[in-house]
Amino acid sequence: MAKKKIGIIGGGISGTALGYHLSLYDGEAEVIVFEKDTIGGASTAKSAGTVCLFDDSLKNRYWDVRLYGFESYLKMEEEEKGSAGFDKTGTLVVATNEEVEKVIKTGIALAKAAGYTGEYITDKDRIKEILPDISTENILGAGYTADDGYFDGTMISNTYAKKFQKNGGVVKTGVKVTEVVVENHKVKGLKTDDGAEYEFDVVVDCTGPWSKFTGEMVGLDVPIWHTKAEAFFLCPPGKKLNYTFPVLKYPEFYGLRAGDNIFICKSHLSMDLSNPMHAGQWDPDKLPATGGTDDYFIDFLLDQLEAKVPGIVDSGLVSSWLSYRAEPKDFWPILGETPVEGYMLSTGYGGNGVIEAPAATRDLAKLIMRGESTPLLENWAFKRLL
Amino acid sequence: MNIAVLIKQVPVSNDVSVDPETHALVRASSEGMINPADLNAIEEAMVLKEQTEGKVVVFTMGPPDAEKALRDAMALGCDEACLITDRTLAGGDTVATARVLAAAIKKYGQFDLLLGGALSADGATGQVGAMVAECLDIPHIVEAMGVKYDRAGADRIVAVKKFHDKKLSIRCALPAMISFNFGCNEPRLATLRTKRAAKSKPLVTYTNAELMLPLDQVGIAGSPTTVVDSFSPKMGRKARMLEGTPAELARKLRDLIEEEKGK
Amino acid sequence: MANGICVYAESYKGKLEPVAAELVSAAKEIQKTTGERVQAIVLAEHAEGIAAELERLGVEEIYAVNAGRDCSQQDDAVSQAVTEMLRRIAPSSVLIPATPEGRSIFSRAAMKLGCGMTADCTEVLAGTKEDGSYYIKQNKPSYGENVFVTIITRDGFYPQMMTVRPGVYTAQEAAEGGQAKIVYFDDIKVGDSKIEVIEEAVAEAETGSILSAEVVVVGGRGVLEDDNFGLLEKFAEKVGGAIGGTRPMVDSEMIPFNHQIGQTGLTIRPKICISFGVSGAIQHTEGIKDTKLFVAVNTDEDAAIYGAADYGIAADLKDVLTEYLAL
Repeated sequence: MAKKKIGIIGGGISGTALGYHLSLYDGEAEVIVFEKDTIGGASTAKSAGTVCLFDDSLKNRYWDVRLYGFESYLKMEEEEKGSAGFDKTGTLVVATNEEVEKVIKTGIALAKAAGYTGEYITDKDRIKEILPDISTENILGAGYTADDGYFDGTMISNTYAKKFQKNGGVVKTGVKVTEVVVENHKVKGLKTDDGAEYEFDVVVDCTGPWSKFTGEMVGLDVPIWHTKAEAFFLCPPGKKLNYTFPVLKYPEFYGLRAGDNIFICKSHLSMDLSNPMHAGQWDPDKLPATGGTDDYFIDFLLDQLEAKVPGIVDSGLVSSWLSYRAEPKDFWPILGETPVEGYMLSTGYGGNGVIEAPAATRDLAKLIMRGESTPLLENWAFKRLL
Repeated sequence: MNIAVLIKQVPVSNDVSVDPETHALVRASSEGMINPADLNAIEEAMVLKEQTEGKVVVFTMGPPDAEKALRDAMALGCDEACLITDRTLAGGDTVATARVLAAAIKKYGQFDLLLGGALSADGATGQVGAMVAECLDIPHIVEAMGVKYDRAGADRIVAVKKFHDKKLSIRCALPAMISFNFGCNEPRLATLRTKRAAKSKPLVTYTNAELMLPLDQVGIAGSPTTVVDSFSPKMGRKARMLEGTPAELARKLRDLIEEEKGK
Repeated sequence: MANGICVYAESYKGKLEPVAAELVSAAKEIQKTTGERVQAIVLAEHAEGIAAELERLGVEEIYAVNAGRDCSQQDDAVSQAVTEMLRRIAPSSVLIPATPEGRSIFSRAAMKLGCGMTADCTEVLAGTKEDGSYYIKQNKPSYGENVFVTIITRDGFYPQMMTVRPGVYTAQEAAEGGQAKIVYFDDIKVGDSKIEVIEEAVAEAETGSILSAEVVVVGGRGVLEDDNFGLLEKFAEKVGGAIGGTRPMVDSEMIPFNHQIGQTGLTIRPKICISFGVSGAIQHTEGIKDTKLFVAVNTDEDAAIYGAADYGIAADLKDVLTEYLAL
């Protein structure tokens, strides 16, 4: 039986996870991943990699997706320590109002059901024990688990890529796709900037913030917006913390440790899409590796930290970066078939790529290889946006 | 001690290439930052400020958005800033640039010490510091590792400099110009508070209306040297792979290292 | 008419610096086209020995000033004397080593003469103008070697002054029987200087700060196995380098966080960087910039690091390190 030929554009978390899942259909597929730069080097590299079992950045409606991602990476770590870059710092999710408190408690219930620990702490002294630099004024309590932490999206992408290659997959780095060949409204293959041409039955767009441009190659309007993920690296006063900084989540921002430094990022859901400072359609190729944050972010962060984590507000600013979270207006990913036959999407993960990619690409691989859909694919289908 | 620090705003990334047709520079991003060696100069200035009284004024010549570099410098502790910006002053070579900086310093006020980074990350000429010193008729020490100041000898400063395999202590009368090598100290970091405070520190802008330099002395018109061609070397900076047994490879590696060290 | 290709004969403690021989070579290349005399200027405490060395290199005209004292670092006074020499010699071009001394002295001279100076040329070529006269095309890298530019000194500005990168031109070989016109400017003095060297000590080996290290050895995942880190440490000692590492090395506590290189750690700018077992995922290569020599050792031929390095060695780092230490 002829092997199915699949071309994947983009070697970030989405593309490498998809390549891996496809390679599990032993001998049935010929898959090539095309990455114009380095594996997991673009949006994925700027991802915080947090899981946050009690959080609502990925609504609890999709708890199973979050859990699947978490457990996939734990298994990766079991196979080879460090291959997912797991730093098990524990996570503290702060409840600043009753609505948030409810979500956290739901998260704890779900986490416990899956066999993980979790508790909702109202004893402010205990909260301060976990994170001495926090201010417990104006908070109702906090959810805490020691089982959680953060991963490294770039390491994970490289691990997926290696496993994919071991299963016969081909990875081409430093190669840019310049044209997707379409005949009679059906994808035939693609061309790359080194002059090569490939034949494919299916081409999948895993290019995240570039998806609009990638879609133009087949005349498809992919309704991706970019929201800004602004982040700072802080060097704590005294240069070193004498405690393990947990993943820290507030509705407005989140933080985690990065070596001896602290990484702080503005949260997703506090973005105002109608504010051109927060959301727009930009060119990800013009994003610098470091710097690029807007001025207002300094004031924002100063006010937030002064009120909430005053112990670190006088940290040194080591560096900053800006990344684009790519997603459609309803904030859900876009997966699967499009009006162009053979052209599929695995994009719009909007800052949750690391946690969503394993489940999403597992299902997408099944769709590609068997034509079988799943409730997840149906919820996140492209046609909902038409 | 009144100190002037000269800084340059350089691209965050040296990831630039030349458009083969227009010969224009193609930048991956327009993001700018303070030249890394200048951060070392600012750090030296801050230490001196802590030891003496007086103020630190930071200068830069550039497009209007170079104000960002000045605000970043003030977030590190510089007290005042001077932005020199004017189309007619732009595009100059090191000579034309040095004339402008010297004029701005002269206009701004009296300084005991001028500090700067030894080389910039983009142009890397290492010339402007000494040229500014020449324009102001003051002595200079470039590519230093640090300075020491002694209240007892208030009109002098001692710079430490590596030269050949020696470490020299060099005494210099003030006023003087001193430039520092990248990495010679650990620059302090700005904080959120100092960044906010920097927004309201005094910043003065000079155009040529204030400096009144003759047009044949500044900018492109005032540059004795000019760029007539530019190109990017072959794309894709792929490493040249070395071949051989581990012993041969080790020898080749040693030769490469020794050769580079000798340069 | 300005005439002559003049080389600055940089010397140290009475001996001609090797780079001067390279510049003589470059001058002789230009001479093939323009037919000008190859000249040299010497300014030293005792210039005689240096002048003799220059004569053996085939320099045709040597202009010297005996400073009568060690005027090293006194570039305010030295530049004054050198400028006066150049005014008298009136060469059409001046080739200066792109060294701290060359830059320091001649930046001032270039400003005094208003002639400008091009920095760090990797190639100097004679070009011919429409009217048949000659000029020098000064080729040099910019933006950390990503862009190469050709610079010229505009009409009416003399001399054409440029610093030339050491190690690019092959040194002219010395030969006996050279005949040079040697001129001593007895009336040009190195005047008083506001600068004084008060102490000269032996420079200690670089310790501590990885940021100021000229040589950095970076270890990645591959170093975590066996006693590879021990080998890396010995290698670093042998080449006189500081040790940096990517995140896995810090996570396993082999190196402290303040030696972590990469997007979440430090950005280093050493002259020489040798990496072992570093794959080159972006958060690592973003931490190494503007190196003059970058060699990566990684068994994976397709490792991304080879996109950033100048040379690659696709071999087992343990073997390479063991062999290197045996050298």
